[in-house]
Amino acid sequence: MKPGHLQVLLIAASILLGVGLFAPCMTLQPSYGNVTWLARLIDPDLVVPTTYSLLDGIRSLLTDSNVFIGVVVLLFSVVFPLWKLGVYWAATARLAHGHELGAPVRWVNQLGKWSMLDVFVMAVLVVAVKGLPGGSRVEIEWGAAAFCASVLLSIYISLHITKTSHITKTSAAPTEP
Amino acid sequence: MTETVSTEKQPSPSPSFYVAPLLIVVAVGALFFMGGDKQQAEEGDENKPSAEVKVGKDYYVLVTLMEFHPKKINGAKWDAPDSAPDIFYHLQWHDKTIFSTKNNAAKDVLIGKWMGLGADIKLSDLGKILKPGGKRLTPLNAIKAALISAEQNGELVVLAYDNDPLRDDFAGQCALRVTDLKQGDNEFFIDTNGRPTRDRDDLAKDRGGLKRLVLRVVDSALPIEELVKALR
Repeated sequence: MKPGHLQVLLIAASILLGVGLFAPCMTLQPSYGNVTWLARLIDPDLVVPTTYSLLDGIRSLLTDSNVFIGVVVLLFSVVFPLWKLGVYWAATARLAHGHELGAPVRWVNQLGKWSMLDVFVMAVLVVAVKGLPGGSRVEIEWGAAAFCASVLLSIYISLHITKTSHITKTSAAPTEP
Repeated sequence: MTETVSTEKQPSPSPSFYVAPLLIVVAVGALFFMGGDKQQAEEGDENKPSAEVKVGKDYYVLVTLMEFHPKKINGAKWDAPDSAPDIFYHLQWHDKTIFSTKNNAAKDVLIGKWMGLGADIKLSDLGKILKPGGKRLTPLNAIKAALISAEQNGELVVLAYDNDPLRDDFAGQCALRVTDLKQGDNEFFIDTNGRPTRDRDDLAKDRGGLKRLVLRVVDSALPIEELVKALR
């Protein structure tokens, strides 16, 4: 794959990441079993579905005294994916000029296994809330799909950027007589 | 996974490459914020209580507030010795009483208020409700309002009374064209001729009897959450 193609994929991954962070990620549908209608009478806001984006969730964690979890999710759901894409972007620019990938790509690939942590956190959250009594349920929204697509696309890019680097190096190496 | 490591010094890429994904993400976020503001503005417009009643649709109607003058229409006192009236009302549609608060009169007041929701549960019924498979409470039987259909030339009449043990005292009435109503709260004042007007300046100061009322009109097709909010 050419560096130009990788850059197109990086643009797509960045857009998907933006959508994944800002778009609705999950909707919490509160329920109180057979007395849901009574809860509506007492306070309709109790049963109003609430939609969160990933950033809304992080903000809630940070403001609701769950600062540690909030910071961890912020690092691995926002900061790390952004940094990873930035590193790949810079690496494709180096490849385009015939240079090697550089150390940051190695660090990113070493830390890459952590990038799925956010998906894991989301899965745990969904399972936890699905287990609530009274029939409360969580509906996964399209923002979560966009976020997962961004993670998967960045994994695909990381595999191909390494391959491309090898090919570039092989073709640039002088052939022995 | 093996990486190629170069020992020769290579130019470091421009910092702009590292910032590019951040800029794209911020741009996407800005689009979402702009879209959210637009949606909020549209939702705000929907909640304005100025939507006209549409012919052919069904509406819940109830009086949420009714005020009486300190004296009856004939100038007499309401209740002996100096008690305020026990206010209640009937709603008539097609010359039939379709809703009444006679059993829920506002006692000894000059301003009575009612809600469009409530559950009348007798203590004797509580056991039946709590039993599995027992008496059912549903949101529909908690709605305390009349249901009417908006028709061309349709008329809704509000009859106001003071609840008395022997004979209820008539306090006034208010005949309203259904198509003149708006969704939400409609406040009417009784003028010197006993007719309803939306203009507070036309209110009869010393007429006696019914002084003003607020009629709430709610689209019956609303989702249950919005219906509950509107009727509360």
